[in-house]
Amino acid sequence: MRILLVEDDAMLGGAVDTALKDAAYAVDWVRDGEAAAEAAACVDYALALLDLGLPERDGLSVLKHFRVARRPLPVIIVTARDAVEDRVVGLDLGADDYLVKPFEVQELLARMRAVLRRQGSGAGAVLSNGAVSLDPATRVATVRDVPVRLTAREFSLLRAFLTRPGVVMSRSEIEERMYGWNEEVESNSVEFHINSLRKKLGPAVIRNIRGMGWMVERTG
Amino acid sequence: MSSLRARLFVALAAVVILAGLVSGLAIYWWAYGEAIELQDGLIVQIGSFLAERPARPDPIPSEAVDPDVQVSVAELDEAPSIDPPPLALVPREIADGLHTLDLQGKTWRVFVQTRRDGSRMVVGQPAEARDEIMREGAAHAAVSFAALIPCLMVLIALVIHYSFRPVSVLTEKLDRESDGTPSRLPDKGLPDELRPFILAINRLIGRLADRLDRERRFIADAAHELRTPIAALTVQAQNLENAPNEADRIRRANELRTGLRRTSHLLDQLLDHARYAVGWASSSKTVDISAIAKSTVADLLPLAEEKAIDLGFVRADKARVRIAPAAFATVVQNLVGNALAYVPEGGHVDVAIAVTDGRATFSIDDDGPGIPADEIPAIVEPFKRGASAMAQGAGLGLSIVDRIVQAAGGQLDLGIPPNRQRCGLRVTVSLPLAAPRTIMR
Repeated sequence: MRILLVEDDAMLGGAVDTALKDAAYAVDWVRDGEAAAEAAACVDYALALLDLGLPERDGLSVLKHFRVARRPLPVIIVTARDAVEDRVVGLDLGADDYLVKPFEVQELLARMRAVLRRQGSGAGAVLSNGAVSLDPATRVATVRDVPVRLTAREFSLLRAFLTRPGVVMSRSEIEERMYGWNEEVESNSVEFHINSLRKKLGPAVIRNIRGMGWMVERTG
Repeated sequence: MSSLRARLFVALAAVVILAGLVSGLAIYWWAYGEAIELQDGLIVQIGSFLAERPARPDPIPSEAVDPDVQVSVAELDEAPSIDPPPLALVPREIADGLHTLDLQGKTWRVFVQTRRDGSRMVVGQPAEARDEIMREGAAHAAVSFAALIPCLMVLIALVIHYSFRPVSVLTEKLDRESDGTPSRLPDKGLPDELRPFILAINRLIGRLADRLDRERRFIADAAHELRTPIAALTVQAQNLENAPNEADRIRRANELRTGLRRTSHLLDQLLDHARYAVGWASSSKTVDISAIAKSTVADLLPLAEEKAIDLGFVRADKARVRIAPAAFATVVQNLVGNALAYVPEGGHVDVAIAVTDGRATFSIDDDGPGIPADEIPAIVEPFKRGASAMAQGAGLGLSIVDRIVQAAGGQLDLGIPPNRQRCGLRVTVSLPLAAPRTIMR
């Protein structure tokens, strides 16, 4: 799941970048409004975290830009501005949530999950196709009532599949959801993580469609 | 006495009473003179009238004499006198004319006249009579005046009260004023004496309101500015807790330390900003700013070496300026620190102190990205950073420098270095030189 982080402060941006990667999100971090608009135009992000006080182009203007773009991009505003008017303007412009600095990482992640849940086709908190379920909050997968702990990459991969069960994803589609711009993708890493998932959850969980990619069944 | 009203009232009352006393005395003296003239006229007239007649005609009928008037007539040449006493005691050798005599313990005013036949006569009246006229005249004046005094006092008090009404109205308005942003006092319908005073107060209120507004904005901005690094610290602490391995743990602990350093730097800057707001200029003394600049720049050399920046002086005139040494060191630290932060690796930062036309000019040229001309006016505002500024910082440095320089009577300018095209930044601080010490020779 790929996140666009828009934050001009190097220290906070770096810290949030690390925290999101720890939480198994792929993160693209941009530092100004122009770059944010450009990034959103070429990558299909699951969510954007948007600071309001940005150089080059103000956060609210970036938000407007997101809103007129074809696909609605879920946005959480993360800002130091806490006046009620600011919140109202932000939410009225179409932000999905509003988080005031300083914040706890847990709260940021929970709000992100909540927004993603609302966006995801009516899915509940726990992603599932019937055979395998995945709790994004705890990163624990469950197969036949047996909980299985996953690494960050495995979780990221399984979440990508379970968000859209029954859809076949190519290697590049999977990589796009698992890795940010500045992360190096080893040539066979997708296969490597699929293999480790199969070992943990059973070989039948992820199906390979030759020449097309991989998928999880819509109903197990 | 600090009340103008009381002062005015007392002064006016004293003037009125003094004027009353003076006029009372004047009336008394005037009445005295008038009474003497009146009496003299009376006895001279009687004397002249009687002198035209033979001596001792029929006795003056006693009923024709007003007991109050008490005019007596006597012959002088006969001895012993047949006339009733006092006047009979008038010495025989007295010259013709008016005299004041002491007769039988009483003061008399007498007129002596020699008739054509050589006989002499005297007309007299006790002084008591005229003294009474005098006393009564003065008493009337005094009484009527005394009766006027309370009325005058009330009138004075009313006039004073009415004249001071604008002041009381203003006082009430000021008292009702809340502690928020003070509003200007109404300047219409004011007495001419108060107008300049009120206008001056209004100008002061205007300046204070501006200042208050700026400080309020600053505090709000400062709180916001602190939120971002604290958010970063919160996230960094959580990241450290979540570190998957030892290498990450060390890296994340370092990040947290950097974050703490940056936050404490921000706090230092906030404190500097507050410190140099007011009241520091008293620690000013006459110092050679080039010495301070040299030692401060020397402290920054390691930072320059880290980025391979060529930092040095192109000129360092001895310049004696009245300023607090710590404040000037802060100026140098912030300006040179800014240059080092924005100049790319391998760049140049030239510092110069020149003395020209009674002013010391401290300038820093760099070949960094510079600041677009349209952003320069706002850049000294607290928390304002260049739109493209990527270096770390709160945007307080220039604001602190501006405060210090202004308080020292100097000027801060930003522009383009004259010897470079388009790029780079020249920051100039111009300070008045200290008055030269008296030369003893």
